[in-house]
Amino acid sequence: MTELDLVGRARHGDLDAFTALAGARLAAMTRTAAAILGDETEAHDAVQEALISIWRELPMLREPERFDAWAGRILVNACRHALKRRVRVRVREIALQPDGVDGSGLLAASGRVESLGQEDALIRAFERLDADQRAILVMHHLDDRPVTEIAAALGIPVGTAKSRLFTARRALQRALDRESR
Amino acid sequence: MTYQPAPDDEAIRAMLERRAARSRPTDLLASVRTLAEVTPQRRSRPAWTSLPRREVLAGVVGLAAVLAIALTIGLSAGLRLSGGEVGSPTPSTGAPSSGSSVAPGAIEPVLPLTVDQLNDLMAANLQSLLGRQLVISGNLVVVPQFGRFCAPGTRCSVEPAVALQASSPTLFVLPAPENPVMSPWVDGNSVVGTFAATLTSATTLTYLGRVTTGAAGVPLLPSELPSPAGAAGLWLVHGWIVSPAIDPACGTQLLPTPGPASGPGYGCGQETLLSNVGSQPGPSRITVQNDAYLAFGPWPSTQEQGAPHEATFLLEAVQIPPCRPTQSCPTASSHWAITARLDPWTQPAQTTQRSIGPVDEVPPVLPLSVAQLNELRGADPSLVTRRMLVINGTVEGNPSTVSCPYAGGAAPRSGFCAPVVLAGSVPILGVQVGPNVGGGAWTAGGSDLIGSFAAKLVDPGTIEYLGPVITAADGQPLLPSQLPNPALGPPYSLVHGWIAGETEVKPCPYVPGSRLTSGPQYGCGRTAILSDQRFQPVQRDAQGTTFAMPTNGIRVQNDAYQDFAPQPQAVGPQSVPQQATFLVQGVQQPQCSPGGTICTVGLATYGWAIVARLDSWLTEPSP
Repeated sequence: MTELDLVGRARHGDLDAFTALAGARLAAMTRTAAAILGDETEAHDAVQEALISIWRELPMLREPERFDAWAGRILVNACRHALKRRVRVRVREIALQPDGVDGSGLLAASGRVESLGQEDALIRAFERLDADQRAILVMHHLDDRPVTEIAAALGIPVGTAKSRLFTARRALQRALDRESR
Repeated sequence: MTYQPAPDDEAIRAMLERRAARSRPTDLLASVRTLAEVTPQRRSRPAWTSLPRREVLAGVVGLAAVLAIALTIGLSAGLRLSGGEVGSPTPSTGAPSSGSSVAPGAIEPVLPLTVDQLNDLMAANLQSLLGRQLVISGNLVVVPQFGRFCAPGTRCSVEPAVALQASSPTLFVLPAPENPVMSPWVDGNSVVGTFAATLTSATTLTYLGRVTTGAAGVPLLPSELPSPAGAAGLWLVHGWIVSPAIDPACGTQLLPTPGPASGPGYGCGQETLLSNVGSQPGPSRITVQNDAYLAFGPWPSTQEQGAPHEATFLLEAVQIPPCRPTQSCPTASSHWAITARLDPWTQPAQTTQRSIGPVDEVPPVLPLSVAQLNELRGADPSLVTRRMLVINGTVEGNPSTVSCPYAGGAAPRSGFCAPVVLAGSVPILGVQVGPNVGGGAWTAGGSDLIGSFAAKLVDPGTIEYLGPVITAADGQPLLPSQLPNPALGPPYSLVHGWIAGETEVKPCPYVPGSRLTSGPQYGCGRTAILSDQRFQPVQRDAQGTTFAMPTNGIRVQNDAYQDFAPQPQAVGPQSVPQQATFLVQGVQQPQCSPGGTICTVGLATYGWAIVARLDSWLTEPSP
């Protein structure tokens, strides 16, 4: 059964077909949401919200062949909602030791420490971006998606996608500057 | 300032990879599938959406008219309780499917809401349902907890989530905070059948208990109820409520006031019976709590006080503690108590457009929009500070608190760092829940609160949320005659009408042992009314003055004319009726005899009280 068949069946209420569609995309969606939100718990919530929205709205999808782009937009919307819901102090997990580096080597390798500091500043700067800016950076830099595909996923013209990508990069740079004040 | 070098693509990728690596595989798919099972899919819009606009408009108007008529004549139903109301349909035919629970009179019994009917009511006017108790026939499905599931807006807990199957939007069901152990799903079982619950937000129901009915959901007759001893849960009953008279054996023991009631009373007092038939309350009757007629009898009271009135009720069995020695009460035992009444749905906010009302001499004042509030605060903050406001907006969780400093673990309560804010307010307004509100709609399920609500600006960065405000479906104020029974509960209502009242204070005869209670008064004093049209309640003739109630109006608390009329004016014993928009609230008050010449205390009844007047974007503070 093709992906298009699964979409067609899911549109008509076939829960098994929907589960198959969701299962095939769950890892990628979770990875995208985690990159946008930076929090595993919120990422799972966003993915769940997105998948339920996809299920509910599937009969309204007019172009089943564009399912992935449509689903991607719903996921970004769910991430946007998740950012709005941040009403409590977040518990931020601080790794005692970075991946692949043992504790003794961390203090000794000053260059590595400087690199980690820069990356932390970059993370903090990224946290200052809005959901749309985060999403376009994730799609371009993490998912390696070309601008044309990004434009399709966001439902915008290619020129607008390029402009948004440029704006997001510039916003990240400005946020990085603010982090260094 | 130090400018950082622009991050290269590789640095951004590494940072994003690091964030993305925080996600790990979970059993999310199983949770999603379970949720999808209880979430209906949205289907294509009907064909009429492709019609030319004029035809669509005509169709919509026609459909609205049909719906209004249908709803008015009882396609859905309401139930009241100390703060609750339900919608439920009357059966299409009077005959139930079994021989039991036959409707005893002319009024059809009210059935529990189906989930489809609840969905329709929520889509039509969610605001009017918030805070109301509902009797619902449906399936509560336990959503398995795979370690990563929470009801929307709440943080994850160890409790499994429960949802009402086929509700749209999905309604998650939470146990009542005061009695979480009554949740029948603690053992992981689903609930199939009829239950009572309160709609606490757009996505959450607070479970109140199972409801026992007759066959096919038809209410039982009073005589079909078992002994209250050991009867668990809630019971749906259709019968005649009647209040014969005050028990003569009680004598003057009604006075003094027994003080705050700790529960339903039986014995001395305003006895109330529930009977199979209205004409001959013979053996097929049960005794319910005193004063139940006052709380659950007909409204508006068009019948002789205490006369038989047919309706559908929700009952529960209660244990009564021993009575005081001075009262001739039965010994402690189990009794039946009415907790709610189900009515055909006549909630005006559900069905009525104010535009059908009389022509206004003074235009109604609408709730403040957030933009108007911003404008007022910008012009002169003192205009709105510490005043009661009616605002139409969205209260939501604050999306900005991540950036806020937290000293000593205590979250700042106002402004930019408040946990809950008024969306669109500039500068941002934090929202606190006022006393006696029982939590905002957002606190139960974390959902946004959208619509009109009463609030006070307590400081430049904070408003105190006082409760939702009921309006007509088009957002306009209601007419006084459209107000529901004030016993429905705490939500405020916005009403536009004519206020009038007495101008002379009548002497109040002294009744030994009696006393006036605090709060609004309805007995001796200057009586006041709100009416749809200009109405003079004080009639003068050769014998003196008499007080008449309007046919399209309500009584409000004494002295309301003097306190809330825009420009109180008296011509002898008559006031000059004036039109304005008011915020009113149902209150429980002592019972006074008709005419207000003798006030006794101790028998509770309900009345409407004006709490504020809205004047051109602003309301006057309560006196």
